[in-house]
Amino acid sequence: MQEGFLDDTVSVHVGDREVLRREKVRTRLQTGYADSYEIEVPDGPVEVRVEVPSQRLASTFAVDVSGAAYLGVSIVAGTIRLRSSREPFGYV
Amino acid sequence: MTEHSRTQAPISDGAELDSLDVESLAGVPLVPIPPFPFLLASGLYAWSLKIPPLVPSPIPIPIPQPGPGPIMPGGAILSFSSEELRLDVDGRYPQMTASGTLRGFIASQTHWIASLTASGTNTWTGAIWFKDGATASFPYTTVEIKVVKSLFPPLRAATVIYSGGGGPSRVRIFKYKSSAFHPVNFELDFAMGEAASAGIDTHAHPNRPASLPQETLTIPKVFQRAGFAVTTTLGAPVPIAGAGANARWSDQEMHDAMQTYWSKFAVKAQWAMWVFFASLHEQGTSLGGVMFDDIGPNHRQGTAIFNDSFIAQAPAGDPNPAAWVQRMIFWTACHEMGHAFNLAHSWQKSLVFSGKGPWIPLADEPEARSFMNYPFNVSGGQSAFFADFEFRFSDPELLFMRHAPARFVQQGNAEWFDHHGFEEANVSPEPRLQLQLRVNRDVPSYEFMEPVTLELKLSNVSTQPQLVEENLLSTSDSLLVILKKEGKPARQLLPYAQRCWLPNKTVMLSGSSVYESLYVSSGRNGWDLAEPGYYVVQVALRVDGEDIVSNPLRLRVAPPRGYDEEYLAQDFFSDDVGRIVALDGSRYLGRGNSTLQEVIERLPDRRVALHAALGLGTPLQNTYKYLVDDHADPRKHLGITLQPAKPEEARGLLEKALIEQRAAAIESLGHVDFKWYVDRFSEWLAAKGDSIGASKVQDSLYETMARREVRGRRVLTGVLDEIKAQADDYNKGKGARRARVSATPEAS
Repeated sequence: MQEGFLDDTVSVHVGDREVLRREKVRTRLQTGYADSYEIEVPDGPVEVRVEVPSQRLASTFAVDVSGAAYLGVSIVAGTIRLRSSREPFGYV
Repeated sequence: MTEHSRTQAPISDGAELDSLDVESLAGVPLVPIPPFPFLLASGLYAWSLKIPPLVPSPIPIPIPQPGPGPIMPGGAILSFSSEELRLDVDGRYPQMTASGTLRGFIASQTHWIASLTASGTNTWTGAIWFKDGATASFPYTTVEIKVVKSLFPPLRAATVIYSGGGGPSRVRIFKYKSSAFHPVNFELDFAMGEAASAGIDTHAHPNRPASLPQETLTIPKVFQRAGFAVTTTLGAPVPIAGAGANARWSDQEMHDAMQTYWSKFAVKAQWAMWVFFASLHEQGTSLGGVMFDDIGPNHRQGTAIFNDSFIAQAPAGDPNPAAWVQRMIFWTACHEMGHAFNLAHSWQKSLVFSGKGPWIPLADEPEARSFMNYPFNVSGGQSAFFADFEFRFSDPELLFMRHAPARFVQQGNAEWFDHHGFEEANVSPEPRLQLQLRVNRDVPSYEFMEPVTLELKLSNVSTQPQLVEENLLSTSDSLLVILKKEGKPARQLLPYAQRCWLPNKTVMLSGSSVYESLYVSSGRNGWDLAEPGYYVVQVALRVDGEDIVSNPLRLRVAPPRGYDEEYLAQDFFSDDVGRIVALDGSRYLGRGNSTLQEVIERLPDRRVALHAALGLGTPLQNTYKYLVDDHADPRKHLGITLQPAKPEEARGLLEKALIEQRAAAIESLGHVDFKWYVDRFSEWLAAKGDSIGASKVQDSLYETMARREVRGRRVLTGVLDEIKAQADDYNKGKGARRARVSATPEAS
C-alpha cells in the first residue's frame, strides 16, 4: 500500500478469494508508504481486485504473475491505481 | 549521555564564488573573469528601530492620505520595531523575488512576498502577492527596491519603497547582513560501524548532465546554494544498542537517539537538524531514508539514511556501481533533509492530506529533477533522472525555503505560538527588568469554573534606576499573554477592554518591584481556561523596544465535582458571563446575570459563587447609565437612561464575597485584586456616609492580609501599615487615601 491511505480499510482479492484485509491503513507522507504484505499466488494471469470500503472505492486489475512480482496500490484523485514492478519498491 | 568530541565547521558567509561562464568567440582567446561576490545584490538586509530609554515627546502619527500620497520617511505608522528583507535577484538560482518580515509588538509579525523584475540600474519592482500575519497594518501592494552595492559589506544597503493599498507610501532603508537568507546547523551522526556521507565527486558517475561542473559537492554546499548559512557539527558513533536486539532502527528508537546524542536537541523550534546514518530501518531494505521526526511536539528535527538499504544496490549493468551508490546515498541524505525543511515530494506538491496542504497553491512536478523527486518515478527511470539532474532543488522549492514564513520552513516549528513560545521575542542578553508570573496560593490549582487571576511582578534587576511607564503592567498594548492547554494549540488572551493611559514615567530603583493582577480566564477569544486539565501561561512585556518574557506558569483546572457544576457550566462559559466577570458586572447582560444568580444559589460554597457575587453586586452600587435609542436626538438618535442604584442589595452581595468569604476571596482573587475590591468597597461605604462601616471593612482587610502566608511569604508590613492608616482615617471621618497601587508585595 502506497499513497493516499488515511486510516482506511483495505481488502484485496485474487480471483475470487480474499487474500488480505487490513484496517486503519495509513500512508506515511514523507515516504509514500503505508504497508506491505507478501501473498502466494500461482504464476500466470490473475485478476486482482482492490477494495477500499472506507472510501467506497474498488478497482479490478489484470496482472500477469511470473516469479516475484511487486504491486503498488495507491489512491490518487479518488481512484485506485496499481503499479507493477519486477523489483521491490524503494521508499525514501 | 555519552561524551564525544565534536568539531564545529567554520561559519560560511554562504557566498558562492561562481565562475562566470564565458564563450569562446572566433579568434578571441578565453579570458577567465575572477568572481566578485560583492557585486551581488541578493541577500539578507535588516532594519531595526532603536528607541532610547527616555522619549522626550510622543512620536507624531500622520493622518493617512487617500491615494498615492506623499512618501513618509520611516513609515506612516511606526508600528514595527525590526524588519528583514530577503532580496533574491542574482546569484545561484535567483527566484526574482523579495520577501520581508516585519516584527512589531513582541510576537506580532507581518510577512510579505513580491515577484520582481528589473526596472533600472540595481533597481527592481514588483507586486506583493503573499501576505501573512498582522496584515492590517501592512496595506501595501507594490515594492520598489534599489540596492547600493559596495566592496565593503557595511556600506551595502537596500532602499525599499512600499506603495499602494490606498495609503501613503513608506520608505525603509535596510542594511546588508549576509548573502544567506536563513542560518541552519546540521549535525551528522552515524551508528557504530556506519559512515556519514557528506560529499561526492559530481563527475564520478558517467551518467550526468554534460554541463554539470566537476566539483566535490558536499551537503552543506547544496543547502548554501539553496540560500542558507550552513554550519555543521560532525558527531561520533551512536551505539548500535539503541536499535534493539534486531539491530534495525525503529522511528521511536531513532527519536530516542536524537534526544540523547544530538547536541542541539531542545523542545523548541530552531534552525537545526540531526542527520543520522545507520544500516537499516525495521521496515527493511525497502526504506532508504526517512524524515522520522513526526513524533512529539516538535517535528522535522531529525532525519535518517540507511546505508544498507536498496540505495546501496546499484542497478544491474551500471557502469560505475560504487559511484552510483555513493551518489544515491548523497541524494537520499539531501532528500530527507529537504523533508526536514518541510518540502513534500515533487509529485505531491498540490496534495491536501488529513487537513494539511501546501502553503500556496502549487502544481505537482512529477518530472522535476529535484532532490525531492524519486529518480525511479520519472519517465525513463533513474538513468533519465540522473542524466538531467544538477543536484538542486526546484524553483518552487527554493522559493519556499528562502521566502515562505519562517515557521513553515524552520525545523521543529509548529502552529504560531504552539510549543514555540516567544522565540521571536526581542529579548536582551542583559535584561534590566525581570518579569515573574505567579499565583497567590500554595498550589496553582483552580476549581472548575473558578475565574483565574494571576499576578505579575516586574523587578528592576539592574544596578541602575529604570524609568518605566507607571501603568506598564496594565497596558494591554504592552502585554502579550499566551495560554496553552496540554495537547491543544496555544491561544492568545484578547482582553475585552483596551486601556490607554496618559504617558507618565516612574522610577524603579534597583532591586525594586511593581505588581499587578492579570485576569486570564475570559476575553474576546472566549473562555480560554474552561476545560479541566493542565495549562501553561506565559507573558511577554514590551518595554522600550525590548521584550521581557516571563517564566511559563503551569496551572491546573480541576474537573467538576458534580451534576450542578456540569449543568451550570453550559451557561456559565458564555460571552455574556465572560464579560460580566472580566469587567466587574453589567446590568444590561440579563442572561449572564441570571446565570450568575443561579451559580450563587446552587453552588454557594464554590469559589465561582464569590466571583458571581462581585459581578452582580458591583453594578448595583451606583446609578447605572444605559445607552439607548432616542429619536429625539437629532444627530445620533442615541440617549442615556439611568437605572437607580440598589445599595442594600449591592452591600449584601459584596459583604458576602469580600467579608464573609474573605479567606477564599483573597486566594481566589489574588492579593492585588482582593485589596483593590475591598478598598473600593470601603470607599463606597464612606462616600455613602458610613465611615464606621468603611473602617470595619479595612479592619477585615488588615486581619485577612496579616494572616495570609503563601509558600512562606507574608504580606509586607508596609502594606499592612497602610491598611491600618486607612482604617484610622475612616474612623476620623477622612476619605480614601489610596490610588490603585499595584503593590501588595510579599516579603520576597
